[in-house]
Amino acid sequence: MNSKEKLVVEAIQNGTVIDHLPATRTLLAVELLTDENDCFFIGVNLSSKSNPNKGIIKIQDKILSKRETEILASLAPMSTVNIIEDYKIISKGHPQIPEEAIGLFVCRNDNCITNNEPVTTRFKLNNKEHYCCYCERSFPIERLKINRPSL
Amino acid sequence: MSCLSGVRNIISINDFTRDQIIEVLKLSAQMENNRDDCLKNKCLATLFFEPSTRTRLSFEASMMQLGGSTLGFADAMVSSAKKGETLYDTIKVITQYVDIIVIRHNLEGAARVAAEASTVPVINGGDGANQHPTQTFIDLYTISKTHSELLEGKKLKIALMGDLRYGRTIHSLLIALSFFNVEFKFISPPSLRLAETYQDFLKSKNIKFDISESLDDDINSIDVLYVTRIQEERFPDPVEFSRVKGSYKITASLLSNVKKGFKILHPLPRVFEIDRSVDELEATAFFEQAGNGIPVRKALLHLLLNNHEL
Repeated sequence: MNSKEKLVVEAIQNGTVIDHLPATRTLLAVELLTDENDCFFIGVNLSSKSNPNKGIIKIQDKILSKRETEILASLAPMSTVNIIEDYKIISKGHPQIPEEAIGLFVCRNDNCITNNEPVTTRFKLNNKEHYCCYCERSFPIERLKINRPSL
Repeated sequence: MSCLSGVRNIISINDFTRDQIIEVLKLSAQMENNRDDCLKNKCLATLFFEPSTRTRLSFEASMMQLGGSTLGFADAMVSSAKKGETLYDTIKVITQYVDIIVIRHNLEGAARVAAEASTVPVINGGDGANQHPTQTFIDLYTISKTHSELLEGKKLKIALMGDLRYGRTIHSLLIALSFFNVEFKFISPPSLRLAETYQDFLKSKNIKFDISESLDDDINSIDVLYVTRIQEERFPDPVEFSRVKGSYKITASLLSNVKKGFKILHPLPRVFEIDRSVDELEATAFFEQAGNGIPVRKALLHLLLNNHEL
C-alpha cells in the first residue's frame, strides 16, 4: 500500500480489503458485495506499481462468503482479497473464477427463460463478457446483475 | 464410432463441431428417398407454444414417412401452460408419453430447459430470437446441394440480406458457415445491421466480410443470396419502414446479371422481400429449401432415436 492510499482510504481493524480492482468496476463491486448494513471505505483511481488506476474496497468486520468471492472473481479475477485481523493481513490471494457462475447473476435478456420461469441461471465468464447458457446471449461484465435471493 | 454418437439433443448450432455438421448433411442426403419403417412404434411430441407451419408439418411428415406417429399441440392456449404450469413440469410429464420431443417456444433458452427436464431427446424448433438449429441444417444442406463446392473446401461468397440484427436464422447460419471456406456480404438498413459481437466473431476467425446498405452492382460476384424478412415492428416510425421496405425487394430484373449457379434462399415466410417474378427463375431455391426440411428432419429424428437406444 503506498502513502497516497494511506491518506485517502481508512485502515480497518478487522474485515476484508479488496485491492487491485479495475477502477471502472470498483463501484459495481461495491454494489454487488455490500449491503446497507456494511461499513466500507472505497478508493478509485489510486496508483500502484502495477496499475495507475486501481480501485480498493475495505469492508469492516466482513469476510466474503464463497458466493461473494465467486461474484468478485467474475467481476475482477485479478483483484486480491486480503483478510485483516487487528490491522494485519492474515491471508491474501486472488479469487478463483468459477468455470460456470451458477445462480449468481440475473440474465439481462428479459425474454430469457430464466427471467420467466423458475430456472437457475448459468453463465460462462471471461474477462470481458458473461454468456448466458440458456438464451446464449453475451453481455459486458459491466452489466452484471446480481441474483439476490428473496428472503 | 460416428462423431454424432454423443449427440442426445438438437438445441443449438453452437453445440456442433464442423465434422458433426458435415455428418448430418451426409445423413440427410441418405434420407432423401428413404421411406422405410425405421421409426415404427416411435412417437414424436410436437409442442408448439408458438405458431409454425413448415417446422411442425415437416417434422410430422418426416416422422410419418419413417413409420412413426405424432401427437402434440400447436397453440400454447390449449396446453397446461395456460393454467400456469411451468415448462419444466410440462416436459417432465410429456417425456413419459413419447420417444422424442420437438419444441417451439417464445422464450429464449426454453429448449435447453426442456432438454434438462426430459429423459427423451429434445429438438429445438425455435426458441424466441435465439436458435432454430434444424433450419440451419436445412439451409446448409440446401447450399451444399446447389453448391457442392461448400463441402469441397472451395470458396463461396454468401450474401445475407434483411434483418441481420434480430433474425435468428441469420446468426445460426453465420456460425455454421464459419466452419467452411466462405466470404460474407451483409446487406441491411443501418438499424438492422449485424451486431458487433458477430462481426468480432468473424474477425477472430479471419473470415472476410463487408457491410452494405444495398444489393449494389457486385451482385455478380455472389454465389448465394440468403434473404430474410424485415419485420415492421422493428421500426418505431412507419414512414421509415415504408422507405426501407422498397429498398430490400428482390425482383427478376435485379437478377439479370448474376453469376452462373447463383441461388436465392429464404427461410420463409416471405412477405415483400422477393417478388413473385423471381419464382420461375433458375436462381430460385427457397421452395426447394423448404422441401429439404423433410430429409434433414428425418435424418435428425433417426439419429437421435438411434443414439438414445445405445
